[in-house]
Amino acid sequence: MTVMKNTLIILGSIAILSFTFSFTVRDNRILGRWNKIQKTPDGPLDLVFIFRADSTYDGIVNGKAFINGKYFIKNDTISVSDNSCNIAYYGTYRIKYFAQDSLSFTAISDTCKERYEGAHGLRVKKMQKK
Amino acid sequence: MHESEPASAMELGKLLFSDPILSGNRTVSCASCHKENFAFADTLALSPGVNGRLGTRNTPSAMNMRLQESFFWDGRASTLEEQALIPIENPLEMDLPVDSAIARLNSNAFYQQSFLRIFKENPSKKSLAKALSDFERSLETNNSPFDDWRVNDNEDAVSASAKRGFKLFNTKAKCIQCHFGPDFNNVEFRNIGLFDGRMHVDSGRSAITHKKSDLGKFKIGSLRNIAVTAPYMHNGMFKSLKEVIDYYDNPDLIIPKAMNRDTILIRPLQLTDTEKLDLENFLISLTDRRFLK
Ligand code: HEC
Ligand code: HEC
Repeated sequence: MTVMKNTLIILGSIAILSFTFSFTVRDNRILGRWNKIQKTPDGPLDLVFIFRADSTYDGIVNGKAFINGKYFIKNDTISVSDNSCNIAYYGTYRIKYFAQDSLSFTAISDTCKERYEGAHGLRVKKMQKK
Repeated sequence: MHESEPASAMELGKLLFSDPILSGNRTVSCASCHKENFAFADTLALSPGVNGRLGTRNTPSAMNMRLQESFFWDGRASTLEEQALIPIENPLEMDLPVDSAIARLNSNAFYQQSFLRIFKENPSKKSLAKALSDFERSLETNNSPFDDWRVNDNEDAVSASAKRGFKLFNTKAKCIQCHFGPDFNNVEFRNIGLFDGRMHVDSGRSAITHKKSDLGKFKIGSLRNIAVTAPYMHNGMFKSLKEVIDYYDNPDLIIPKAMNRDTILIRPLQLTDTEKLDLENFLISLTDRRFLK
């Protein structure tokens, strides 16, 4: 009986361990849609970024798809490659989650000028599911 | 208020856009060349203005102007307000001094009162430009099968061929290096090899900047609704998307002695027939639903 009990305890702690393990290693907080509304003299720019579980992402402005690429995340660093520049090249940004539902990007290194201008200092807010 | 009375600068601009009152002999309006059914472009290589006079450049789409930073093939206008009055004065297009256009609007009771109601002032250069440009800013399209695919994750919105075409567009065919952004044109001027100083003599951007390095450079065409705006390029020389793709595949076959052609286009792309078709299907997927039958 004690053998059985011990086994149960061990199995139980493995379950708890692997649960916390998967939680810390697979950080899924980026998944979903993020939004930023930017005011310009010509009216608002409505930016949406979609990060998918298959490691692809898209950028959308005023409902128009304009950027499409791949990303991966390690700890607080995201690597991104997309069609704004050479798609074989990855730029890196530090990501920081803040204020419950917000996310910011700070450049670590990115020689792609177009992307750097849009992404460095970018702050976006999580969108609620429709 | 009467039903047809415009309620905003945009609605007023819409009426003015298709009213020949803004042309010298009252026969030509903006809409004569920028035809709604063809994404506000023309189906002719060169569009006739007053008395059938022909200009030298193809009429581009007047849609999706909001995010543009320069206007006309050579970028000679930098705001929509500035752009809007230029065709009115152009002797080859509407041929009416802007001051005369303003005088006409002031002596037309309907317009005079509409301007007064909307702008709290009589028709002026500034309010005319504002009305026309507000209308242009309203002509945004973001509901193409391509957008549906990317924005709504609708995998069935475009065909497998169009998806392959998008990949080619971003890689082997190199289109993305110039056609980048929400309207598939970045803000630059580039030379794709349509200037040889002999048969093809429009020098484009350099006539504005007077820089030799700008010789033969033109505004990169937007690709939204491109399937409905044939013919193509600043001179309207290509009748179909197929011709455009064949050109990019090997420009030397069509214009062998081009001057100052961009180095991206230095070598033939060597696209296969299937790849060309895939690219074409991708371009067709950029057509807004309102133009799809
Ligand atoms: C006779 C035909 C004709 C008429 C009439 C005409 N246009 Fe155009 N439009 C053109 C052509 C041709 C061009 C390109 C000219 C160039 O690049 O030098 C053009 C360019 C434009 C552009 C720039 C698009 C871009 O991609 O940069 C806009 C916007 C535009 N027209 C709006 C108007 C408005 C508003 C009116 C009426 C006030 C008007 N047009 C009247 C033929 C016409
Ligand atoms: C070097 C930059 C560059 C590259 C690469 C490029 N384009 Fe262009 N594209 C332009 C410019 C500039 C124009 C306008 C040229 C003109 O009228 O002289 C243009 C015009 C066009 C037009 C016509 C737009 C109109 O309204 O008439 C189409 C369609 C087009 N490009 C498709 C493509 C495709 C497809 C590819 C890839 C196979 C491609 N382009 C590659 C710069 C480029």
